[in-house]
Amino acid sequence: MARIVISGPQNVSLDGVVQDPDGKEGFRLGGWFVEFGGEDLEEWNKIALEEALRAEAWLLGRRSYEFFGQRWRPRTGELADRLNTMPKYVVSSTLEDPEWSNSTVLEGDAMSEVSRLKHELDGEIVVPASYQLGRALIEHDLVDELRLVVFPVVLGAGERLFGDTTDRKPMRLTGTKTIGDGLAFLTYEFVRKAGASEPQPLSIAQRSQI
Amino acid sequence: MTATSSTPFIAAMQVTLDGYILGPAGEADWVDSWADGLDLLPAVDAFVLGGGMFPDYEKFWAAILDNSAEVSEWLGRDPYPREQSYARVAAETPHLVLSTTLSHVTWPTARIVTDVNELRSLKRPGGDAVYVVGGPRLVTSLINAGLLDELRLIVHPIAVGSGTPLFGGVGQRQALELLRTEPGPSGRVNLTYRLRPATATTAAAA
Repeated sequence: MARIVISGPQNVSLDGVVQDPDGKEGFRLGGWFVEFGGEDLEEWNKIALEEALRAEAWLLGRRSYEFFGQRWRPRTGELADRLNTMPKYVVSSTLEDPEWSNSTVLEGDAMSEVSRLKHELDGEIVVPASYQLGRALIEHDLVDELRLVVFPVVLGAGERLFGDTTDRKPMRLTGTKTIGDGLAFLTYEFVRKAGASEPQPLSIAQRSQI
Repeated sequence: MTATSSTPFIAAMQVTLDGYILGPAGEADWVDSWADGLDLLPAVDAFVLGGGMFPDYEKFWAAILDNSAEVSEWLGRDPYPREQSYARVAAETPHLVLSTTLSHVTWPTARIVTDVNELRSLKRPGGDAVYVVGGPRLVTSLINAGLLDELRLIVHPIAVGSGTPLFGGVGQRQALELLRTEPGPSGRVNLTYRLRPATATTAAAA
């Protein structure tokens, strides 16, 4: 039984935006990864390498798969070699002939496919930079861990990591540290305990400060 | 560099991991105590609050101060000592309530101001700090007006998916400087940020 981990690590602005970190998608606020990562990205790179080395496989949406594939297929080096040889599973109904080595397309009902994968594999299945897939996995309670790097900016607009969920998702904090000077690295496990997460009735005590 | 000597405006807010102040049903039951925000701050000269939250705010803290029976009913427990302490500090510290719709307030140290620019006078040199209590509309108005200096967040270990976001009203990108990351009780994380002036770039600040 594998664990599904949203990581890579998962970059996010303080207001939860994950859209276009590299500025290559044309989002007007894109490019925040380099601009607000700055010199801290040197240490960020070490964490990304550790994450890749300990991962059993990557699980991605099609767009992230194509983005990472173009970026890493031509390269060599410790991280590139790891990513190029690691098993990669792509959730897509249109991709037929994946070009990146050691790739498998998950067709049909994505959530049952991922469930099956989770039972078949061991270790960590890492979901990098695939927020639509990540949201669906969170909604279906398939995610075990979340490793966030919070970039020091409020973007004010853009696609966010968490979408609407039908239930609240309680979590357990497993670690906090600072990467370089300005990035906060927060790690969580999802808590699945029936009945523990029901919203409590409102009272004036809750409303008094908002 | 007058900015370094003027009294800083510091907001302390309790948010979910996905950035909400309130969940989809208007709930905030992950909050243990509203007194926890003030505990993150140094001594303060004044409290600044939005008009939307103020009627319930003054009703709640007045009841704590009077130690009335209904408080235990609202809270489902007796007030914490830190909540009684909050009420005593609040009763002695000026409260400025930003509102164009409130006509009167009952909190003894409170007065209504109608323009965000009236708050600028609190930035006089030599003060300790001004506590920006909330709500989210006030906090984002102050961010948009370039008046907020520091943001202290208590991040709770829960995602709610929808509700009232803290940063929903931010009009343009706001660069921050991380000052501290500290784990708190019950899986909370305290994040302290200084807001960077709009014109500063990361290169110029480094």
